Amino acid sequence: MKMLVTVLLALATTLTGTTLEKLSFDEMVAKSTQIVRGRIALSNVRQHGAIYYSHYSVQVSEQFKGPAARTIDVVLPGGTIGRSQQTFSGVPTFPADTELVLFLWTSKAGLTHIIGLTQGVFSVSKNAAGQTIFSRESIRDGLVDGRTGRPATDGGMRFTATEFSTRVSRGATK
Amino acid sequence: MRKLLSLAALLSSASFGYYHFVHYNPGSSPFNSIPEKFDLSALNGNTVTYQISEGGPANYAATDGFAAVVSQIRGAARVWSGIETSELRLRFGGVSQPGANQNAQTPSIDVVFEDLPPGVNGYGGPTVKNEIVNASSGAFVSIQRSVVVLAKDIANRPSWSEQYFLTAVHEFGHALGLQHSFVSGAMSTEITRATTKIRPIFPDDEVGLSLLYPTTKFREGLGAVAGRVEFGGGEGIGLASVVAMAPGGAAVGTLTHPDGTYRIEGLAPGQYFLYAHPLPPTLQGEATPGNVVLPVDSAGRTMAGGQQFDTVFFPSSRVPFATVRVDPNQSTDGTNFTVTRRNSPTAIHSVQTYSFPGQVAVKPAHLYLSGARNLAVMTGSGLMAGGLQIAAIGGAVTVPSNGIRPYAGAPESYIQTDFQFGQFAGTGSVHLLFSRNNDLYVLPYGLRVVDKAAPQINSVGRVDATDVVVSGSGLNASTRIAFDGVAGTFRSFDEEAGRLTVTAPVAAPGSTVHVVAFGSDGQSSLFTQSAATLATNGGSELAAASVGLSTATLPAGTESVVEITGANFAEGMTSFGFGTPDIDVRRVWFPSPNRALANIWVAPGAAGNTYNFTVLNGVRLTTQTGALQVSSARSGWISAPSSTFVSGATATIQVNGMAISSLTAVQLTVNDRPAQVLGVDGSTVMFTVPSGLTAGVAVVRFQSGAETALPLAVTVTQPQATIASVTAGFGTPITADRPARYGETMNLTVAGLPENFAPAGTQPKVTMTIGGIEHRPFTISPSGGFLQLQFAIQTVVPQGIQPLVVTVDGVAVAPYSLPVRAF
Repeated sequence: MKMLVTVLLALATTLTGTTLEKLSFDEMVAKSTQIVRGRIALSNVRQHGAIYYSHYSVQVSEQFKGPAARTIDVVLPGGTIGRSQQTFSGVPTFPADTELVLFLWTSKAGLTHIIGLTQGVFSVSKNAAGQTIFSRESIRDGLVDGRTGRPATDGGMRFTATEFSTRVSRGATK
Repeated sequence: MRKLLSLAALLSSASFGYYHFVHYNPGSSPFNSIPEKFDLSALNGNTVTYQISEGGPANYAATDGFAAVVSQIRGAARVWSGIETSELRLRFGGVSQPGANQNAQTPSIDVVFEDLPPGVNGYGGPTVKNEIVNASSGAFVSIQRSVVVLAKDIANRPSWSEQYFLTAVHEFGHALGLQHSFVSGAMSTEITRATTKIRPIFPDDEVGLSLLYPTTKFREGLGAVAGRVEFGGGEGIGLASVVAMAPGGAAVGTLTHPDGTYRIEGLAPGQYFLYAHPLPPTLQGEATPGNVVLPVDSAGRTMAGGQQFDTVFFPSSRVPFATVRVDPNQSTDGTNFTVTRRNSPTAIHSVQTYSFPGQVAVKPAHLYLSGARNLAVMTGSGLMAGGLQIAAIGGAVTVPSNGIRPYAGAPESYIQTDFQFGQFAGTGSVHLLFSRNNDLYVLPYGLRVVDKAAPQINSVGRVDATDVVVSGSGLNASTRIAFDGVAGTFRSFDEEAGRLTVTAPVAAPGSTVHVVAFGSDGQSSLFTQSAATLATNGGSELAAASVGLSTATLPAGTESVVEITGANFAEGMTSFGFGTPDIDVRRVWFPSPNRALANIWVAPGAAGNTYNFTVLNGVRLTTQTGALQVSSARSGWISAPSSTFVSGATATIQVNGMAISSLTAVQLTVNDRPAQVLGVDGSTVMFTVPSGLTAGVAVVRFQSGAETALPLAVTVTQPQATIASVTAGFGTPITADRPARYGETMNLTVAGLPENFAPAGTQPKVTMTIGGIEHRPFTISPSGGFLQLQFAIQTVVPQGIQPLVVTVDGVAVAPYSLPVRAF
């Protein structure tokens, strides 16, 4: 039975937009080459072979994983060059100067991508107590509440900055 | 609701269903969507080529390789190319060098392999010039290039897997102009997609593509429904999804325009449930509700939509009980929904169903009609809380009381649901309905009911150099055996031993091909096992590896025939390409397994470049680097308005790039036989095609004075023969009032055959069927272009008007309707 469940869970984590594969928080930590907090702004769109990439400049304010950097060039597929526009379903766009936490991955070709497109994007906000919160939209299949062990459907991911940092440190050392 | 007998309106409407990459002109309703699509007038033969980047994946599963990947990609493209109601065709354009096509002017699709970040398996989409083209068929935004991006690392998603193939099909759909749909077809997100490798697209996908590129017959005999989705106050809802669903049959959906109006076309006549539901909310990994690219207005501003409301069946119910009738060539208008606004998205959505025929989970769940496998495991948003109800739409399949419970293997995230099959239940797809309180969710094609287990392969062995024997369970004569995605040719089935013998496609010596069995019910051996493997041993049929081009240089801006030599060439199995849309292999003939003739168009912009030549033969990929150079030399060339010439009839060619000096200085041959030139009008030459040419490919050559045009290949046919008369006895004509009678001796005369079709002393080979029953003529008398046959009507021929089908030396005579009566 254990094997069946494993296969089932593995299949269930595949979703598409684009064709995406859902990653857990720990998987994102493990697979990312950098995790940073910063402000993101579109700098330009360039063609790499057949693909247009929108290049975003991230002004890093906090580093959770990976080599230190003050600015990082992050790419997302699609964009507009002159009068030509290339479009892919499921690719996010960011308003200028948005503050985000990003899980990043640098390819062998040297392009830095966001893990799982929107999966590796957390927004930054404050809660009522004034704590900084990193959160992401809800996920598709069930989560298990770590304290009660009961299913917690559709809860999204939400951490205080301190909790986030701890989870990343723990995941990165696994 | 009113019914409009308005075929004209159907044909002229640009306000169509489905969902594409959409632009809208400024203004208010009625909204006409302006989709992004390929401009067919810019494509030769309505065909867009796709080039596959030579880099290929970098990391494969064991035994996987680039040839297998290319073969699967070709298979995925053929899925869309084979839609009969769409004009668009796709053609393999070869293996391209990185960056070689950046300046190519011809619209095409680039298939590239990228180091994709973790969590991404592929994406695809169009590149457009932001200009609206106003055509007689409606406004559109022209796709200049499209790209399909697949992963470089496929170690965990090998080329033969269901997922790899279905991902390629999905991304090709985006590249052709389709967005996400919500009825579980190829263009649904993978969450709810219910397609399988053997059933890779559903009617919704076919309608989606056909709306962009309709043939003249697309709407023939089909109907439409139209209406509006609005809140109680009359406010229209944009981006609401409306689905027409036949119980147990097809489901076709669309999204509403910004004013809430919608139209669903391409529906087969019949009864449909209709329902409206909001887009699923934006979820992890998605940028927008339902992961759709939102429509934009003429200023490029994104148009909002996607408000949340309670899902409702037409006219206003939570359960499907009233159907809407769709009649052929009619639009059922006024199917309006008034819906209730909700502040939060529905809790139930994005449900996946699984079954476990073996150690692998199969999605959607495949259950046995016998009840031997009657449970499905499900996951999705909102399933885990109590009070959930699940029903099958259609009645014959039900969920028993206490049939829903947590799945023991993963009770926190999965439920298990039992199903019962009633007396009238049959095989096929079952649509599911999930509900709790005011949450309602419909999952089209949520289950598939089958009557037997998936085929399974136990062993694959060679009979000889070309044929293989596949043994296993669940195999039968209709089982398709695929080798890296290419179907083998059926030879025989040993029912007692459960063994299939098939001819395998050509593969490279020393390679391993992956063998999968597909049942006619949509199941495959991949449901229970990985692909079987077959090692190729370099048998004699595989020995001739080299391919050759009859020329190494072609002039830019011309079309001409090129001879290609190789081995084991076959129609449907062998594809050629130069890795660029600027060199288009427009037509290929295979006069023999070792020889092909191809008409090749070279775009003017290709001058000065050198291109690879690729042959994909079966699952064998051969690439010759730098095989063709494009020169800027000026050359005359010919084109044929009709690519088929009838032997003995008149025809025309167009002469390009050279002057025609005088009629007397003109020479034209067809397969080296001189043709009589009847006249020249500017660059158009009219001539008589030599009579007595053998049907098949022929090369046309043209010379004017000292100048010779590049040759071109055409198809030559014989004028079609007809049955001139059928008489009984001493010349009594057979008519409806005087039908042919059982046992009666009949005389049949065929006219219009080539005069030399049966040289003296030879006997043509004649076959004849009446009502499908084979008849053997007892006399066969050829004379000039005529043929007389004598035969007797067999008593097993059904009475009534029966088709009389005759072939002479393999060429079909025009069919004839023969009245038959017993006495």
